[in-house]
This record gives sequence, C-alpha cells and structure tokens, in this order.
Amino acid sequence: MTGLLRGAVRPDICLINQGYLCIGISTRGGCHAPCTNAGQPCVGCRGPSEAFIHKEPESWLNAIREIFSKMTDVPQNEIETAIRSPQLSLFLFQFSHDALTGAYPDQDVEVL
Amino acid sequence: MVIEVEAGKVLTAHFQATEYRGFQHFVQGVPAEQMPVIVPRICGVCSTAHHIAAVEALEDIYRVVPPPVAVKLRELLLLGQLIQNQATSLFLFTMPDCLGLNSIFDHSEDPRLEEFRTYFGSRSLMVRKAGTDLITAAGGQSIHPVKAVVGGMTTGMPSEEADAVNREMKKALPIACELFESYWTKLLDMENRIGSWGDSAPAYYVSAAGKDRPDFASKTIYIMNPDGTDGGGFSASEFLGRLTHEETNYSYAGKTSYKGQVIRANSLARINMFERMETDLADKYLKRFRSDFGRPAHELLLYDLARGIELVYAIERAIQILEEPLADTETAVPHTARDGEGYGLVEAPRGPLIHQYGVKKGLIEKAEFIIPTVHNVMAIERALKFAAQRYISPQQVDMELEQAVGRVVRAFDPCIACATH
Repeated sequence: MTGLLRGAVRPDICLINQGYLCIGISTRGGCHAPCTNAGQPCVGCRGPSEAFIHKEPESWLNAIREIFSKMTDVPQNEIETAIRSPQLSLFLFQFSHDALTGAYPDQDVEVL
Repeated sequence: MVIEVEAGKVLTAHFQATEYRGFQHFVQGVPAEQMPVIVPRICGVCSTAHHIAAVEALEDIYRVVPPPVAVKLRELLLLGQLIQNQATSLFLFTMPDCLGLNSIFDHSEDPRLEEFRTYFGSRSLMVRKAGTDLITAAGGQSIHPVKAVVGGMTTGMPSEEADAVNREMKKALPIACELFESYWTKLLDMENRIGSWGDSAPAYYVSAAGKDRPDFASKTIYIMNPDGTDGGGFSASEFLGRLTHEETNYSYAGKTSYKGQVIRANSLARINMFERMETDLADKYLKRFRSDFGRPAHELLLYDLARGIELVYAIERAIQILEEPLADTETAVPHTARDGEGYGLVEAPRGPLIHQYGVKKGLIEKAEFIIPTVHNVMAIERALKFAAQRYISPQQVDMELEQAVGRVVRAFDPCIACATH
C-alpha cells in the first residue's frame, strides 16, 4: 500500500485514508489500540472481530477490499494485490493456513 | 543440559536448545517495512531489542539517519528493557540461589521464603515495573513496542507522560540500590557457603554498549582480551569476518567463538569494559566492584553483581534523559525505500544483537539474526563442565550439582526463544 512507502503518518486522520493497510476496523477489540495510537497500522493480533470470526476467510478479505477502496482512491485491483501479497504477510496472525496450503495458487509462495 | 560422564570423569557438557522457530525463513517475502512489527514476536522478553534492531537494519539499507530525539527515545526503550530484565534476573531468578531456596514458588514455611515474600518480592516487582512503564511510555506498549519506525519514532513523549515515568524512576532508584546492596551481601554469603564463584577462567569479552563508558546507541562491537587489554572494535557488517559462528549437531542455537576461544557477552562483559558509568550511584558500585574483584573479573557469579550495577545505571541514565525535552513533533525524518543489504546492531541485555536483511523489490529476500545468547554458548558449556567436575567424582555425584547447573544457567541468563528464533 502507499502509506508504508511514503512513511509519514498524520495523527488526526484514519490510517486507511492515508493509504495504510490497517485492519483495526475488522479486528477483535479490547487492546486499547496501542499500535494505531502510536501511528502503526493494526496487524490484527487479536484475530477477526465477531462479525467475521464464523465466516470464511474470503468474506473478511472481500470486506476489507471494499472498505479500503471506498476510503481511498486506490483502485480495487491494487488493493486486491496488496492484501494478497506474498504469504498474505500483511495479516501476521491470520490466514496462515490459506497462505501455506496454496489456497492462492497464483502467488509466489515458498512452502517450507 | 547434557553432561557426559565416564567412570567419574566428565567428558563433555552441552547446552541444548531443542526447539526450532524459523523466523529467518518465514519472513522471506514480507514487505521490508513490516519487519519492525513482525520480529519483536521472536521473544516477549527481548522484543524491544528486536524492534529497534529491525528498524536500524532498514535505516542502514535506506541510508537514513534518525533525528537526535528519536535516538534518545530508542535509548530509553533499551534502558527500560535493561531495567526490566536485570531486576527480573537478579531479584526473581537468582535471589532464591542466594537465599538458599529452591524457588520463589516454594510452598514450605521456610523463614527465608517469608523474607522473600514480605521484603524482596514486592520491591523487586516495583523496580521491574518502572522499566516496563518506561518501555510503554517510549514504545507504545510494554511487550512488542511499536513506535520505532524507519527514520525515527512515530511520536515523541509528551512532557506529562515523561514526568510520570520519571517520578516512578526516582521512586525506584533507592529501592533498587537497597535491594542490590542486600543482594551483594547475600551473594558473598552464598559464595562462602558453596565455596566457589563458578568458572573463573579467563575469556574474551564482547559488547556493543560502548568501549569504556556506557553508550547504548553505539554502532561498534568491542572485544576485550582475556588479560583485560583492548581487543579492538568492528561494525556489525564485519561481524562474520571477526567472530566465528558455527552450527552444532545437537542444538538449534549454534555458537560463536573468537580466535577459536571462549567468548562471553552480557553484563559482566560490559562492566569489565566500562572504566566509569558516568552516573553517581552506579560509579560508586563500579568502584567497589573493581576494588573487590579487579579488572577484568572472570568469576562466573559476578555476572549478577554486574547486573546490579547496570540496573542502577539504567535508572539513573533514564532519569537524565527524561529530564530533557522529548515531546518534539519532528521525531522522524522522511526516507526513500530502496533495495540492498543492511545491518542493525543493538546491545540487548544479553549482549550484541545483529539483524542482517537483504531487500529486493521492497520485500525481504534474506534475513539473519545473530542472537546475543549464542555468543555465550561456549562459555555456558565451559562453566557447566567446570561445575560438573567439581561435583562429580569416581565415588559419587554430589547432588549440589543440580543447584550448580541452575546457577550457571541463571548467571548467563540465556534466552532460548531468541537463540532458536
């Protein structure tokens, strides 16, 4: 996404609007947002929120893609590529099964 | 821990880390700028050191220099980690050894345990918490801090926050000194009781915390020769040319040596190198340490006294920095991402930590983590062998060996999670 490449963060604007892939809006809360308050995008370490936890991972990814495209001027296909980056690495704590079992065969995923 | 004995003769002693983590593999392909958020997960105890080493490795690749206020905030992060770690290691892990207890979780009615519960326990946790709160104030959260970014820090520390943590430091300082002095006496008692300081043979020492005075922003790794003379310095990129790192067939940790000899890192290495601490109370303790034990001190159990000097230093130094302005809004400089290879070097509580990344098309192509505990593996094994020889004879195995092995491990305070990353 564009945010990481540009570097700077404005504290008064949502990180998504600034082009960061921040999944705080769809992550289980309760952490008091230490990362986003410090200007770091949420990486979802508490897992998907109540709305997504019982659904297929696909529906969570689709929801994120749609929300991101509404909140930024980044085209949907670019968001698609970003969220399905190698090893789905923008999701540090989810989708490891999908990443490692080749659920996305068009990616260059190195399986150990 | 494996000690090989034949007919009462100790053949070998091995320190084994038998788990495998694989961080160097599964970070391949991740966007480089995410490393500072991913790699702290290598370890809960040492996450601060990994966070900063990751940022510095990327800054080396992008050729960006953080502003002075960010350097100070990072120093505070490392000091907070040192306070937290040394307070835990001294007062919670090794204090039971000094008191002659098996564990602080012992359920017996032992009066020494009562002394721990009513005196040392709560005070130790108060000192430890001051360090944890410093990490939170400077890094955003106490475990896995997030505020260091390429080019600096995401935010400064507002003055009211700095004042609050400063007050906590000032409250912790006399308590830390009192605990440390009491610890010092109890350690001497223990040495009298067991009749040994542990492995006291000379060794090389390695540290990246400054040559003769503490500098936790240092970019040089220094060596001290076994006789205490200066062994020179080198940068993180020269590390593999200067020290030998080898894998073993019995442990996932590997080991480091210098000129084929045993090398020691962690508190005793730093304290042996420092001529002065440049803070009042820590200098007083360093002077006493020097006059009692000389320089360099090789006695194994002195690692713990060295930790105490550092604990006092870290609190004093944190107070100094917290009194400077840290609320600056210009805490990061802009940068341009680029590909290449770079090194991050941090002096973690256990010694020099190096992160080496290769970045291609903005993604991590290669990542190596040179872990402080690994520098101590040969020293741990030598000390284990020394302990085994002391307590194993052709006639019998003295069961004090079990305590002695525990004391060796706790003196080096190894981190297996990091060592196997």
